Amino acid sequence: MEIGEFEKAIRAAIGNDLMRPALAAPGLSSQIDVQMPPEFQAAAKTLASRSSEDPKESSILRAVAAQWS
Amino acid sequence: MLATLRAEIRKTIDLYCAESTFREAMLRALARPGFALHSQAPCRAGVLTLEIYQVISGPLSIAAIQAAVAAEFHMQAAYMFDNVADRDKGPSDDLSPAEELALAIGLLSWGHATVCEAAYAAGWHGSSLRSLLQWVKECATNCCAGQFLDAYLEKRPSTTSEEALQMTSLKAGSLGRFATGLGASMATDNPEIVNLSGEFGFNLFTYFQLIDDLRDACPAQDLHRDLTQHKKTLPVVFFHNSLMERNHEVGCSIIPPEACEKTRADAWQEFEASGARIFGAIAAEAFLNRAKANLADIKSRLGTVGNLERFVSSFEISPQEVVASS
Repeated sequence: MEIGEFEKAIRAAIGNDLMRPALAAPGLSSQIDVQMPPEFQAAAKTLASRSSEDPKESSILRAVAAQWS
Repeated sequence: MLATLRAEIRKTIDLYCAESTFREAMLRALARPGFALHSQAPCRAGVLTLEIYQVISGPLSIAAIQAAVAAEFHMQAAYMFDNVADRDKGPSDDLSPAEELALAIGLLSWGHATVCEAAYAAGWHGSSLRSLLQWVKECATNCCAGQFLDAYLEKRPSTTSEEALQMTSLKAGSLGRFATGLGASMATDNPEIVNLSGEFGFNLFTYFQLIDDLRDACPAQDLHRDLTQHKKTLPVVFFHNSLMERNHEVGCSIIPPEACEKTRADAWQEFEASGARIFGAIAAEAFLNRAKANLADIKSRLGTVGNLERFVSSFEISPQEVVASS
């Protein structure tokens, strides 16, 4: 598992100061395009998918953003 | 299934432990919240052993139940070690660290003895039995190595995410491999099924641990958690490395507990802002996906996975819960 590469990708996405941490997860937002190892890209997508199936209609993006702000 | 497992655990303790003070202390310790004999305890390791056995072989045998007891004994020993390691985390009980460790050693010893009994009941013998016991030894050693690394890394000034994940996988994943691999070994001598079952347990328990680490990393209501305990779990390592990168004056890794009241809100906000929680959530999800792929593979070979999909989903955390756990 390329956890180090994944860490770098997330850190780079956070570090550009153009996005909130909640938006730093590629696959969770169509606006963000950050290269990351395929396994984590797939994991971000399944996490986002389960989030959208949440009966409370609460996405992980909104939830993180709400807590962070 | 839980009732059967708990009854066998009690029976095994009564059988193995003639010394009344030790036996009573063990029974009291295992009746604490979160431990196997508490009415609300999920007994994940033992139940998973039984579930995988049922998928492969059908109705439970005495070998399967003994294997489940062995797996659960190992898990309980790990909990007791954690209790000692994290003793300053919260109120302790009547047990001293030395007493708790003595109980943990007892559980590990009984766990190995129970493996032998289960193997005997399942008809293992000769070189096959030797291979099985060798495999058990490797799993148990990896669990211990993970527990050791957990404590060892706390002393280190810096830790990489690779080291944190290795520690987590050894500590929790190896226990999952032990539970499912042993359950499968009681049901079949097909090495592919046994290995696949072991991989499933490894990935599932690593997922469980990563989710627990996310919950414990930096709750808003209680900063006396992993963030202030020198813990080197994956999300905490990500956070600390972020701070180091930004040249914050946090030294190696620690926010002094006495400063928690002042810094709780700031630390929590910084933790969230660092991306540590989303990093940990996606890393955990990757292991969940691996476990689900293992499950699909098992289904394609055996035609069924019984209750295992339900078992996985019962512990599957929602993204909202991960993020809102603070």
